[in-house]
Amino acid sequence: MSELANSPVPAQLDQVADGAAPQSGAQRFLRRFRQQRLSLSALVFLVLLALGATFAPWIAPHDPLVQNLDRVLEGPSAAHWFGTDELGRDVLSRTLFAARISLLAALQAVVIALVIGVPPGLIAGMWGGRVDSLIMRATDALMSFPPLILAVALIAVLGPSLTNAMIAVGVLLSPTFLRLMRATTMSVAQETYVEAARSIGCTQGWIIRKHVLPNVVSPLFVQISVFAGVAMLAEAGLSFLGLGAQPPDSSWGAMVGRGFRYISHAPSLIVFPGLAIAVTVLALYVLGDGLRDSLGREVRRET
Amino acid sequence: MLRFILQRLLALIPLLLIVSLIVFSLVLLIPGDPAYLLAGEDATAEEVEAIREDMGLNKPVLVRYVLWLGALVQGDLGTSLFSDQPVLDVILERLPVTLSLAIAATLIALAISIPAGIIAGTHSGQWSDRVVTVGSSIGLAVPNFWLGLMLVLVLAIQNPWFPATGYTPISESLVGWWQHVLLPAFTLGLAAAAILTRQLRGAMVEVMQQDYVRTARAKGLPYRKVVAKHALKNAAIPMVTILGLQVNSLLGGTVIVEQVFGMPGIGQLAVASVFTRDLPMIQGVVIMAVFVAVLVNLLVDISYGYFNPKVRPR
Repeated sequence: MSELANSPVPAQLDQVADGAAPQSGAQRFLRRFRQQRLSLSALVFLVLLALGATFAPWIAPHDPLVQNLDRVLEGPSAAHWFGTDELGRDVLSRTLFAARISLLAALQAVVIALVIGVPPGLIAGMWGGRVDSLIMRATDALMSFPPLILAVALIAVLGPSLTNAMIAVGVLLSPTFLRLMRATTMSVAQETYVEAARSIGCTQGWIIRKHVLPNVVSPLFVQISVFAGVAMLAEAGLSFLGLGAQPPDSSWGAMVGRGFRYISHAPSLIVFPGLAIAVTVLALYVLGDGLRDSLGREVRRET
Repeated sequence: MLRFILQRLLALIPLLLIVSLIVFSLVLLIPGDPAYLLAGEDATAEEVEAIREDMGLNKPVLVRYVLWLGALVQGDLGTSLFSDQPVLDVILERLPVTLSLAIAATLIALAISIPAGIIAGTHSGQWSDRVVTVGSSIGLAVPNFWLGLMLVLVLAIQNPWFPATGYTPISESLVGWWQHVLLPAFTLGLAAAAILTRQLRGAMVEVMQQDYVRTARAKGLPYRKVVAKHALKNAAIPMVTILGLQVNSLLGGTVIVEQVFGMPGIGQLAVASVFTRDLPMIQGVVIMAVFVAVLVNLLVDISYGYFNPKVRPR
C-alpha cells in the first residue's frame, strides 16, 4: 500500500477525473512528475551537484587549500576556470568543496526545523482546545520577529559557528512546518474515516500512524524542498556576515563575504559562488513547484 | 471602527509579553556563566563582578525578568556594554536609516510588482506571463547580498553613477538620500517584489474570470477600465495582507543590505554587536524591530478593516 493511497479524495474519483487506468498514488505521482520538464531538470541538476560535492576531492582540478602567491586574484583562465583568490587558491575547486558545506548546512537547518515544528504541530492539530491555542500563541510570537534579526540575536548568545547559525535558521523555519502540520492534521482528524476509527476504539497513536502521517507526508515534502532553498539563502547571508561558516571551512556565502574586500580587483571571486547559490536555490524552488503540481489535488490545495 | 482598533490593540498585549519573554530568555541561552562571557576573555574578577552586578545576574531569574520588563515598559532598554551609552539612544539615532531603507524598498517592490502582476495576470499562459513568472522565481532565488555586490560592482565601481557605500539623511539632501538609498532599496525590495507579483498575478487571474468582469466587458466598458476599476481593486485587497507579512522580511533583510552598502542602521548595529558581545544592544535591536513590525502589521490590519468592512467584528 502506498503512502498516498489514504488521500481524503476517494482514489477512484481522482482516477476517473484524470482519465487514466487505475494506478497507485505513487505511480500517478511519477507519471505527473515526468511531464514537468523544468522540475525534472532541476532534480537532475541537484543530483549532479550533490554528486559533485560528494566526489569533490576526485573531481576538483586543484587542491582547494594549496596557495600560489605568484598567481593571486586572477580572472578566469584555462588553468583556473573561475580565477584565483587572494592567496592564489583555485576558485573552482573551492566552489566545489564549498558546495558540501552549503548543502549540508541547508539540510541541517531543515531537519532542525522539522524536529522543532512537526511534533507540536501534530499535537496542536490532534488535541485542539487549550493546548492548541497555547502552541499557536507561541508560534505567532515567534513569527512576529524579523527573521534575520532573530537569527543574529541567537547567534550572538550561542556564539558564531555554522551549527549555531543553522540552529537559528531552523528555529525560524519551524513555525511554517508547525502550521502546515497542524492544518493538515486538523483536516484529516475531521474526516469520517477517522471518526469511524475512533468509534471502533482505535488509539490516538494508531490514528496518527495510519491516517494522519500518510496524509501529511506529501505537503511536507513540497515544503521541505522550498525551505531547503530558503535555508540555503539564510546560511549564505549569515556566512557572508561572518556569523556562519568559520575558516578554514568555507560555504558559498562565506566565499562571497571574503571576496567582498577584493570586489574591484577580482569580481570573479564573488560572481561564481553567488551564481552557485542562486542556481541551486532556484533549482530547489522549481523542484518544489513540480512536486506540488505532481501530487494529488488535495495537496495542491493545501500548500 | 474604534472597537475594532481597540480589540486589535488588546490582542497585542499577550503577543508582546511572549516576545519580551523570548528576548529576555536570550541571556539564559548563553552557555556557561554569562558574566564571564560578556566581560570578555581578559577581564579581571572585579570586572566580571561589575557586569554581574550591572546586569543583575546575581538575582533570581523571575525577579530579573520583572525588573527588565518594568524598565522596558518605561522605555529603558539598558546600557550598552560596548559604549556605555543608553541602548535606546543609540537605536533611535540609527532607526531612521533602517526605516527609510525599508520604506524605499517597499515603494520599489510596489513599483515593480503592480505593473508586472497586472501584465502577467491579464495575459495568463502567454509569453509575457511566463517571463514575469520566471523573473519572479529568479528574484526569489538570488541572494540579496550578492545582488547588492553586483550592483555596486557595475553601477558604482565600473561605472561610478552611484555612491558604493554610506548614507545621507533625507533632511540634509533629498537627492543625496535617493542616490544613497536607491541601490540598497532595490536590493532589499526585489524578493518582496517577486512575492507581491506572484500574489497579484494569481489574484488577477482569478478576478478576471469573475462574472462581474465579464458583465463589465459585455456592457462595452473598455478593457483598460475593466482591469483598473473592477479587477485591480478586488485583486489588491489580499496584496495588502501580503505586504504586511513582508515587513518582517524587509526589516530582517536590512541586517545584510546595510552591511553590503555600509549604511549606519540598526541591522548593521546588530551584526557589530555580535562581535563586541553587546547583548543589551542586541536585545534592544530585536525589541525595537519587533515593535516596528507589530506596529506596521497593526496599521495593515486596521486599513484592511477600513477597506473591507466584511472583516470588521460586529
